[in-house]
Amino acid sequence: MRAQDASIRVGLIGCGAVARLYYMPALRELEAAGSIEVAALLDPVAGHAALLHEAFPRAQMARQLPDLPRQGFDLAIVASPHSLHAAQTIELLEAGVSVLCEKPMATSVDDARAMIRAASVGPGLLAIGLVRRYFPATRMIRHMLALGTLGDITSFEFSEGFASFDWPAASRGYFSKREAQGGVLMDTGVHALDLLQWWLGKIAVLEYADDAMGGIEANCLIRCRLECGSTGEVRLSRDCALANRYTVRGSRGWLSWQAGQVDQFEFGFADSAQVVQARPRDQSASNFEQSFLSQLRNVIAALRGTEQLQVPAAEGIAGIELIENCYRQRSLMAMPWLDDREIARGRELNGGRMAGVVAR
Amino acid sequence: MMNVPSHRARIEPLQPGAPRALWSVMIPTFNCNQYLQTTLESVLAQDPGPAVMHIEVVDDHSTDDPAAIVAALGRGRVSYFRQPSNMGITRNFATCLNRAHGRLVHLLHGDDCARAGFYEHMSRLFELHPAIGAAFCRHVFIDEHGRELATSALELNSSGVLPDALERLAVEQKIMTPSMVVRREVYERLGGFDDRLPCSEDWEMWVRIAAHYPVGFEPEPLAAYRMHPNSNTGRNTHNADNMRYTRAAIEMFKEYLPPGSAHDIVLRARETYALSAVEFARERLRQRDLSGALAQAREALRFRFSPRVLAEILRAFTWS
Repeated sequence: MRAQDASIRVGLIGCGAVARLYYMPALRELEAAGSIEVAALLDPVAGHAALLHEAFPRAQMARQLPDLPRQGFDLAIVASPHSLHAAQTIELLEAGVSVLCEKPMATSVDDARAMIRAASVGPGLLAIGLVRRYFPATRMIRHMLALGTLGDITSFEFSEGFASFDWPAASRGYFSKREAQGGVLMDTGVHALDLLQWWLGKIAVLEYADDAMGGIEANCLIRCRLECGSTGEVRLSRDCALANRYTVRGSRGWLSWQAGQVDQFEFGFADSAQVVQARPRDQSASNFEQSFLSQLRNVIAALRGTEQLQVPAAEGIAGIELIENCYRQRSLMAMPWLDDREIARGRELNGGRMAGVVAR
Repeated sequence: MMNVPSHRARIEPLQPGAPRALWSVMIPTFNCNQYLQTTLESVLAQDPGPAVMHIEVVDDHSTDDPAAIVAALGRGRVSYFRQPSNMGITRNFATCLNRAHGRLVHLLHGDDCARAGFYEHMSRLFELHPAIGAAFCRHVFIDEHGRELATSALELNSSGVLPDALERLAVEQKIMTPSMVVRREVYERLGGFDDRLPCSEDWEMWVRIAAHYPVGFEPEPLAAYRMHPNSNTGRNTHNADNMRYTRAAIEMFKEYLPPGSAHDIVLRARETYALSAVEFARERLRQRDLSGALAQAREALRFRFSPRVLAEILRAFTWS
């Protein structure tokens, strides 16, 4: 633990899109406040680190983890490609460095468990970057659900997808089966499944289908069941405009959240047409960038021993277990636009299974 | 005497024929010395003498030495009894009631006050209406500095017997303890406060009395109830125990209500306290106590899961 007043030295491991768009503004604000000092920037592509170096000129730059002195920083933000998360996090934890690992914490449950083991034997903390948990809207929805305001939960539908994919991925690894280990499920799906379980408790996957035929999926559909027995579905896409709504229905009312909306959700009553546009009184963040700041503040406070980690590694692994479970029972999404020959090839590439579910 | 269940104190009748004062002003106290002097002064300023009024402080094993204040201010006029250990509110009340020997008992917490004219007006009410078992006056809420915050509702325009007292008192807790006077024989018959209720024990008691006796009302605000963070009410809001026990009190007294109207009265009481719990939730949010606010909201829904309560909860937690 760092002393209350000491500046925490931060290393940014991976200087791609998420680091540039979201971590950089938050780190600049914290550095200006004297709370942290960005001490290291690591990326195998020198140009990526150099872009951030303009904002943090005192930081040491490196291309490989072994090139950085382990005593040089207290907290590492691991924002590298998914497949590197586990190895880098374990190496850092074993060197006594605390880690905030971007989602997904790992691409397999075995790796995630190894990360947790490494954190348990060393002095460092392991936090998982699930930024949507810092949105005032998602937090308030969790409280409203925990209060039982919807009565008995009867169903849920989560959908998220855009017709054009616009994430400015810095490396091709994002689309590589070998490096990313998955597509939309491993990316947006981590958030969706995390919120689903954070809000409604443990779920069981009943059926999973996607459109991957040897590569990574751009579309997927998960049918799942809550512990209370109610069922629902999660539909995700990288190339199809969906409703982008997370809706939970209960015997007394319903809640609906526009995916990505930081500080607003809708509440409806089962027995009336009244719909309430609700903005949480918790004003800790009003946009995506401020939510990253809230996330970093929590990790820093935990390092100083003044707060509990809001997303410890033990919570991050739950989503990875679900994703692994989904891929284990993967079937090919029904795609009526394919002809018989293409379907046969699709089956062949997907292990022979073809689901009855249809991509919408 | 009715058969008094074990969770209610038995209040033993006094020897018949023994000389008795009209009043017993019983002052239960626990670690509230900063207010006790004001409380005692408020009674002593109206003191009709020992033949008419018995005044006693019953100390629930305080650590702030109320005996010194009693000795300094009472100068022998105010008796003092110290519990051998801390008994808790309802058991200390039971001690007060059993030690009271006046015909009318006024329980005045060591942080509350009787305002000028209290004993005169209330004596007259009992004289004019001999059938009443208890009577209460309006009260003012005061803060820790004695500043007036609000005045309770006007139940009747003039002093007299309160119509529909049982229904009115069961729908909402309208009586703060310092505003209530009860004949000792009523406690002897019905038993004392229910010790399963660390909060709302007074409400259950007043409803039980109203179920058996007419109740008088005095429109003058002659009592002061102090609100402060360490008051019984203040202490129990952060975990919503105040509302949990209020719910328990309703469950207990619904059996005293007339069968034809009990259901409706209970529903109204539950709606009233659901909305009250939401107000406590708002207050906890103002104190930046989210877990306390959520506990209050949870209690609100346990009282009554109505669209109105739900909408109020949403309004408390969101800008909607």
